[in-house]
Amino acid sequence: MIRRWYLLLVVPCIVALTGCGLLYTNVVQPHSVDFDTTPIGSKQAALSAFTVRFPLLAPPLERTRISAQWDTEEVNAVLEEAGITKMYYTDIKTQEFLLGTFRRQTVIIYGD
Amino acid sequence: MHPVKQQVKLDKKPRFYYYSTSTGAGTLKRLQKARKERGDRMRKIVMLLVCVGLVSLLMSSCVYMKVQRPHDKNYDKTELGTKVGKSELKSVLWLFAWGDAGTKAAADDAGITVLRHADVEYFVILMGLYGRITTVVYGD
Repeated sequence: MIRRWYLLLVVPCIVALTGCGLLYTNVVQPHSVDFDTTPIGSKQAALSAFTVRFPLLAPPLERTRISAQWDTEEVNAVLEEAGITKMYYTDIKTQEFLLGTFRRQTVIIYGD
Repeated sequence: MHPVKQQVKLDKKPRFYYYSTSTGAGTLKRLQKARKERGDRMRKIVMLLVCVGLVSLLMSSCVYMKVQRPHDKNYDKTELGTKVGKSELKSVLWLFAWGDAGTKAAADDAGITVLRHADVEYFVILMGLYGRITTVVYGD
């Protein structure tokens, strides 16, 4: 009986700590925290990082044991490719599926 | 021959005394079992209280929450500007989350070309059963 109660209490904690949707997440949020007279910018560049991990749901809050991470390019290369010489601010896009089994985070850089 | 009344101490500072009209190992086993059950019960109660405390800490304002807090960290002579733009993302049932609550989307919403300040608004119902995060940007 106590184990059932324990699960009922711990599972919401896990959910709360994950922050977003457990099955599907595709959101964009602000990343920069200083907007003092920041121009909006006319160009943008994206930098992605991928994570693949296997959720094990091991107690108490440990979700992963096996994971792999890699990113695509370097910041300088991405900025050169987009023709950006001045970075103004960044947003972050998070795409996550199936309890974080696949996670892609993209930093979107805006500038001129 | 009458059975001897036996008195058994449970703890160093006894609160309860068990009286038995019989003698032998059976009484002692029953007492040990009762003590073990009492210990288990206490451990379960403590564990439950710890869990409830943890959940309460994490789930404060769990029924209804609508708060707005600053996202910007720099307030040096900040003027808010004349335009306010908003963008939002939503989540439902802790399972699905979608939406563009980025700075760019919020600025485009109001036609802002110069950003001056940003806030974030959280609207959460029933521990995140429905949630909405809104980015509010100010500028000209």
